Amino acid sequence: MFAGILEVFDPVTLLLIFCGSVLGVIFGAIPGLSGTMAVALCLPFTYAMNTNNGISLLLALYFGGVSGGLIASVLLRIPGTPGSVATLWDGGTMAKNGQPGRALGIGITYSFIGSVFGILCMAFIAPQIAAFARNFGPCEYFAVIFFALTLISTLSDGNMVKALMSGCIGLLVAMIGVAPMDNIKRFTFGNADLNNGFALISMMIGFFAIAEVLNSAGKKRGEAAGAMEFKMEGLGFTLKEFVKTLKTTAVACVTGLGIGILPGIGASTANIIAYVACKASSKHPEEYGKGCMEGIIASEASNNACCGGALIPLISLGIPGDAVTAILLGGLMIHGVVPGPQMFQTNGKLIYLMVGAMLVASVMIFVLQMFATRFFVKMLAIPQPLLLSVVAALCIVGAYANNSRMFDVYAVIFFGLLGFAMRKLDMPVTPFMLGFILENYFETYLRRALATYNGNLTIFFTRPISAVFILVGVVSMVWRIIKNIRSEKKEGAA
Amino acid sequence: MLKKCNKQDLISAVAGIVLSGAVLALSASIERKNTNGDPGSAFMPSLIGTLLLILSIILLVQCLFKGARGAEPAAKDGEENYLAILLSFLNLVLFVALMRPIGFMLSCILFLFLQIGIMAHERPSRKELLIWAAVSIAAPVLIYLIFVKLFSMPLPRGSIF
Repeated sequence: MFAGILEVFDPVTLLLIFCGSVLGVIFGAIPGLSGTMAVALCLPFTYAMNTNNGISLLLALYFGGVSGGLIASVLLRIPGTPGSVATLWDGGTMAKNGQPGRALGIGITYSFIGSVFGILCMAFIAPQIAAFARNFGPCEYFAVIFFALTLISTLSDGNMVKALMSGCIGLLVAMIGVAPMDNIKRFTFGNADLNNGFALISMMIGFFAIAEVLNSAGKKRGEAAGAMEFKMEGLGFTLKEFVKTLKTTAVACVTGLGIGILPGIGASTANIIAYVACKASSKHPEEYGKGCMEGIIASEASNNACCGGALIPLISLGIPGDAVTAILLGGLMIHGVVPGPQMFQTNGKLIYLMVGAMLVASVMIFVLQMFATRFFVKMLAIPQPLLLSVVAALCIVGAYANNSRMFDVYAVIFFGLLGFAMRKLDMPVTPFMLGFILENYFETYLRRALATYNGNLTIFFTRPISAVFILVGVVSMVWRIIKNIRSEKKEGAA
Repeated sequence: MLKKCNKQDLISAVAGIVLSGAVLALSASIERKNTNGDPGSAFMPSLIGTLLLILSIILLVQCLFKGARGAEPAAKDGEENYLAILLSFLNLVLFVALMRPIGFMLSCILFLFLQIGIMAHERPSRKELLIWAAVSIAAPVLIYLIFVKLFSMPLPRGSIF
């Protein structure tokens, strides 16, 4: 084990991990670019490298990409990656309230904690977790997604009906294109560009970047966020705060890891679900969304723990959970390594090299981001018209670069307008995002389960894991509705 | 008894009803393949469309019979500059429309200069104008160098540049 980890300390490997971390953070921090893109772009360079160097570089890019997303979320209130959407609710708000340094410090530290937690779980309990995950069939996957969708009710602070409507609209928009299972076109109106539906990146950029530009354009100049001072002592939080938030950290890490293990779902969902789970288990849920430390922890610890989780099925079962792990699988195979149940026996040393590379990359990313924090914060001193206009241009270019097609740019404008309209109608956008992200999995697993069991609906309730998730989802939703009705009655009486 | 409506809720409810109606109508024309147990591609849009319709009606009823609840969050945005919002949107559309004909570089320079002007709301001084121009030129050049030269990601090229 240690022989594998020690191989990371080869100077060339360390240099490549450093370069990967820097590049990953840059890709993560720029809205429109992502860690997946960085890994895909650098994959060809690893052909000429030896296995250790090639895999170390790709892993550093992966972790850097996920961690870097928080910078844009906090400073620009535009998520750098889909995995850092929930960071902007509290990180962005904390920065807006005049504490950008503290928000970044918390985000960076808990990204590191989440990464280390995920990596250690991957190193020590991957085979056991993977064996458990193997029990998951379409019914169980459907139940998990169903459970995640019921969280929409928890995501509303105002009118729950509007939150549910927003979730439904998100689900419907995600249905545009070719349907899963039978490949029948839906709502495409003969437009070939619509066959693949809308890209997640276009939706995200439109909803946050373009809607924010339109919103800011309408504000008088004096209303824009005031000048912020950079004040940060240590990591941005005290030891007392660290101890106080241990429960939140644990919930976020475990949720992120759990979501990461399930193939296909990924950090974009993990951060939102962990945020909701932490909010639901908090003694002060009303503080979420107002710039509280727990909100940043929930998002950042979970999306990074998700990385380690996503590698568990890849290493143990040879199943890539998402696009980036699929590219990593390609990277491993190029070097003649075939992940799967035998990998711990046949390539045990390489697994521990990967663990070492990820740990070193996490440390480098942490130090790098902490060092650069004071420079990042200076960005906020740029007058808003200049900053937001450049960000808007960058976002449009990022959306185009994703697939090199103009359709994604048109989609950004469409989602920008939709996001702006929803904001004006006081309709929460997060349920829309959750619906949009989860629709494909929700429908695919439902239809696959029904097709497997000849349309027998009882199968969801006779399989224990599936039954538990569905039951917990329904109970939490009903509880939330009752709570909502009660508070409305109280408001009416007051 | 009808009460004073929250305008945002009323618009949301009506939009929801129209959208769900359109979804349900379009779902009826989705091709159906008969396979064992699989409910087909029209099932999910019909289900979610129906759910949206029910929720929109609930919102409409809430709005009409319970009236406006609490303060309207958008009320504080009353002094918004709608002309600037409209101009920003048109500027975005213009940027995207010009990207192919004149290329990324020129369209981006034009977009940035106009957008900064729209968002600034005030008549600029000579110095400010120079800063706007410098940023409008420097930012696209930097974006071009990063995307095209560093990462080899193609950006739209026009007939001029």
